[in-house]
Amino acid sequence: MQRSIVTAIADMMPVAGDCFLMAVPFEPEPLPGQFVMLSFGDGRTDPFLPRPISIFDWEGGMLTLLIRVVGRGTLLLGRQAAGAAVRVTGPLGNSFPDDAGRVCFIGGGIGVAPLFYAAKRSKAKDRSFILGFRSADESYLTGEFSEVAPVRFVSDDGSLGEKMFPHEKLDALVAAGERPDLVVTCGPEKMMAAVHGVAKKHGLRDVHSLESRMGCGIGACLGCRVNMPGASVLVCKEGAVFDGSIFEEKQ
Amino acid sequence: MTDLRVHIGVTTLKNPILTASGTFGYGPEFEPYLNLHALGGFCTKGISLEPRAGNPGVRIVETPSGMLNSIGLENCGSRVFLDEMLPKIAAYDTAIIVNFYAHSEEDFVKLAATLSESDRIDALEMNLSCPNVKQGGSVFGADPRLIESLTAAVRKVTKKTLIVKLSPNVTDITVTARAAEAGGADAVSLINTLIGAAVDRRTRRFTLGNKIGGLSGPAIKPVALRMVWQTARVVKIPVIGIGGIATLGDVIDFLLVGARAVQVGSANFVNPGVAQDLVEGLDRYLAERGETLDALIGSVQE
Ligand SMILES: Cc1cc2nc3c(=O)[nH]c(=O)nc-3n(C[C@H](O)[C@H](O)[C@H](O)COP(=O)(O)OP(=O)(O)OC[C@H]3O[C@@H](n4cnc5c(N)ncnc54)[C@H](O)[C@@H]3O)c2cc1C
Ligand SMILES: Cc1cc2nc3c(=O)[nH]c(=O)nc-3n(C[C@H](O)[C@H](O)[C@H](O)COP(=O)(O)O)c2cc1C
Ligand code: FES
Repeated sequence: MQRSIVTAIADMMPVAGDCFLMAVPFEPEPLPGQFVMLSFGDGRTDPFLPRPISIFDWEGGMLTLLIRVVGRGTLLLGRQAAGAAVRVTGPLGNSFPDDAGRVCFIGGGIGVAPLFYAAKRSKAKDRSFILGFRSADESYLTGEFSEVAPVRFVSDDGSLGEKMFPHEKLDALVAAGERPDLVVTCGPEKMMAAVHGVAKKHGLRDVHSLESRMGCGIGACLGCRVNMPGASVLVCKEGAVFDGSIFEEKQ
Repeated sequence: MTDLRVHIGVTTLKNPILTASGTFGYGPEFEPYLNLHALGGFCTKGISLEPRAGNPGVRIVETPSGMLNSIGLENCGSRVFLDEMLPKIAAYDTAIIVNFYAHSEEDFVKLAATLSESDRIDALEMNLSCPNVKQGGSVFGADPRLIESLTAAVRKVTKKTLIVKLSPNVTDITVTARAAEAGGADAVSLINTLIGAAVDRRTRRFTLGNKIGGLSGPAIKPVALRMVWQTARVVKIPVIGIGGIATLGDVIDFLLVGARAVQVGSANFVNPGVAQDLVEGLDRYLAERGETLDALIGSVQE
């Protein structure tokens, strides 16, 4: 069951690349791929709306969020200290599917956020990441991800791992015989569409976590509807996880 | 437990806290967060005769203490609403107020008649903040003569409580409120959103796909409070206050200036359980003071 609670931040930790980790006590246990709506819990009306944030980790009642500062809301949230009140509504949305065989988790930039928990919780025999960042300087938590599963890093400038895009790495892995049974992706839409192209070429099953501006996260405001090539979707209610066919023009 | 009941038209609300159209989905979305039986009632998303897809592109943008939306009145249409949505909420022990709109008088009347056939619907709320296609797209809610004739036409086909929801995008809201009263409305609700815009300096484009949208949230409360006060002084029918309500203090302010009931809108997005908190808060507030709801309503000192 979802809940909306005001709770005190347990821990704040700065992370490279303009990111921070926020730990807050939260039940119930979320599913991988779900998200929460996060806002200030002190009654302020500015910023007004809650922000959708993925589950980075959840362990024994403690929810951890990985947040990148991109605008005013995330900037002010990042300035909160442990003890400050926040409102958390969730867990929301559907979840990533799993597979017993080989699962490849592909993330770009802050899109890596939901993949940590997804890989950690996956029952797949073979789990691995392909994580793409702009550069080594703008990468984060590389050690943490490596502890969960083997990581192939790629970057735009070659300063971290190989100089290529995540979808190119997936293509190369499949060509080398490492064929995933399931590809789980989160990142910029262009990246996810490119990954879908590769997945389709090889007949792989692929799912993607979409982004959209959200007002409520619970299907009430109809603000998050996006017209994807494959369908018009209410991201918070029907997703945020969608099958790769969403990137294909409807016939 | 204080007696929080209020009478609007032929409907008795168990308390004056309602939720506003377009901010409460069709109801079930809020089941995890509050007890819907606790509410005085809720207004559905605006329903039209046929389903509507709404606007493409960015549909919401945050603004200081508020938000702009250009959802474009997306809804499932009256048939799907009556056949599929209404049965899901029929069992709630709370008033179901169906917000509806059309683009011509003919369609308003047809829709009101259709909705009136359902026993489970307690009241109809007529949204006038949409363009009249027959009159070159001018908004129904801006023309007092049109409001009066439209209200009268709808009044003829429904025995249900008829609420006319007023647009604040007018020179004098007391004029449009009086027109609704003259047309036979049982109550007026106000305010709908204020028209606004936002631009993205970086891309030098309008932020909303539709360029302009409706402003709501705490930012509009002073405007709403002023309009509710002015309206409550000049009409005899109940006034339902809407605009930026998020706290018990906001509810009390609206009741003080004469609102008989209130609707909570955008605040549902921030705290989906807020409406029930407000019911409980109002109950405690009155109990602690040993005051009745009737004594509170309209008791602002002038
Ligand atoms: C399902 C989902 C999961 C997400 N998970 C994470 C996460 O784990 N970590 C993280 O750092 N970010 C995540 N995001 C993106 C995050 O919600 C936005 O970066 C954030 O809302 C920006 O707020 P702001 O006030 O800093 O930016 P501003 O640009 O000031 O935002 C103003 C408004 O635009 C909206 N907005 C702006 N950019 C985005 C965007 N890219 N996506 C959605 N809304 C946006 C905001 O919600 C806000 O209403 C997620 C988004 C979605 C939809
Ligand atoms: C996302 C959104 C959708 C709305 N949709 C409708 C609608 O369909 N019909 C209507 O009469 N009002 C609609 N409204 C207006 C609200 O019911 C309310 O009048 C307005 O938001 C002011 O109240 P608030 O400041 O508490 O949000 C909508 C408002 C929002 C924010
Ligand atoms: S964010 Fe409100 S409906 Fe999806």
